[in-house]
Amino acid sequence: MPRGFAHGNVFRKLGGHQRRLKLLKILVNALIKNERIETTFTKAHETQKYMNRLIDIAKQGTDDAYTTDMVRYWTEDDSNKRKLFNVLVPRFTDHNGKYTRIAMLPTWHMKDIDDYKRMAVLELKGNPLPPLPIKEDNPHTLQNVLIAAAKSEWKQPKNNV
Amino acid sequence: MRTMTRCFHPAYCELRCCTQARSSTTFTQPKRPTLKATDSKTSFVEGREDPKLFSPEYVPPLVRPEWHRNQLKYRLERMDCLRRRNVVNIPEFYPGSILGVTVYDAYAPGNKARFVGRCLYRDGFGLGCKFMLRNIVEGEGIEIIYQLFSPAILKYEVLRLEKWLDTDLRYLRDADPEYCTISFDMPPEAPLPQTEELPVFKGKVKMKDRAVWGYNYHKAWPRPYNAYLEEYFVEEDFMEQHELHTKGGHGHLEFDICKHYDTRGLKEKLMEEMELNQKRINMADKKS
Repeated sequence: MPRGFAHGNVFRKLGGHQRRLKLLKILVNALIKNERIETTFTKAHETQKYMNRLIDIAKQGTDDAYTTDMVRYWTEDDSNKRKLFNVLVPRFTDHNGKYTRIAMLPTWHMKDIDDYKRMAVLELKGNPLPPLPIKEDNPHTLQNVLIAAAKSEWKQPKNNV
Repeated sequence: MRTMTRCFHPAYCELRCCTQARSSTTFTQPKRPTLKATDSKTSFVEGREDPKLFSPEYVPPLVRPEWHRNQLKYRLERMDCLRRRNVVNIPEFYPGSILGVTVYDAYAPGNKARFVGRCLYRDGFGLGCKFMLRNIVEGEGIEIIYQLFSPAILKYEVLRLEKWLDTDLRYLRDADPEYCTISFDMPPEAPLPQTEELPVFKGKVKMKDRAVWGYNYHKAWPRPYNAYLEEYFVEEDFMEQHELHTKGGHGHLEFDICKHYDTRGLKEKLMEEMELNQKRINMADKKS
């Protein structure tokens, strides 16, 4: 688990309940609109959970009272709301739970206060933007060869003897 | 080789899959049972429950992080609950109904002690399930927490079966005492048959003066529906977010979607599982 958590905690504080929700709301809306955003890792990691959950809720359909309440709060304007229901939900019908991806950027040195920020890119999967140059795993290392073999074995139909 | 690896780039693969999916199939929205806007925020489950098939203690707890959930442990514990229910008759009851419980007590005359009270809440998962009874005896409020599957409990009696809109009725401590004064000689009412629908109590309970409250009920989320708070507040007080977000309030929980636990979809799965469990137990009994 990334740093910044006390034991047994899953959510960051980000300056109190009210501020936290306000900040997350802005980031979630930016992500729906632009499909890819660049923030610090802490904010991206926190937004990721809420974006996944929001799409899960939107999948329940527009008839649900709980869905309408939550979507009304979490989307700022009508265009984002329409995009959520008409673009993102059909895109992720076959996906299960994980709709976003985080890629790390080089740390940002703020010279005036001599501090570092860990930057990251958060994006929705299946977006129309050009793909990020993410470094791929080498499939020829010993571990990856073994894992691939184990996966293929797992997927084969088992003979019950 | 390079072209091959590019072909299997995850982003590219997904893009291709998605375009195919979009062109080939049309989106049909999954259907859900519609709830009223007022009922959507409580953990209240519709319909009557057969305790051998579904009971609130079968719902697994919301444990985070996700990989700390032990599904095997939850399944085994549900099985143990059913084994216990086959031995002792634990009737169906909800928060709000009036119960009489007989417990083994070494120091009481006849080694038995009986207590009657209104059930305020049920809590906990599996064999650790607890419920609280409250009664006012000679002007003194008494609350006792019992373990539902405790071997010390000899007998359960449901004196009156009631279901309220709320699942946590601890605000009855600060309500009019008539709701919790129950005589120990109260005769049990005729039980409703399983097929008949149980009416839900949607009325309001009269609260004491606001200065005597032990808790800020108007700041709580979910808001207690059966408490008559409108006597002291107007609707605009509830809607004011500042009041809810201040130190004692839970107002932020209303929209904090990652902290919610939606158990509506779990009921059918659990009922199927418990039916299977009953069959397994019967098979094991036949063999031995």
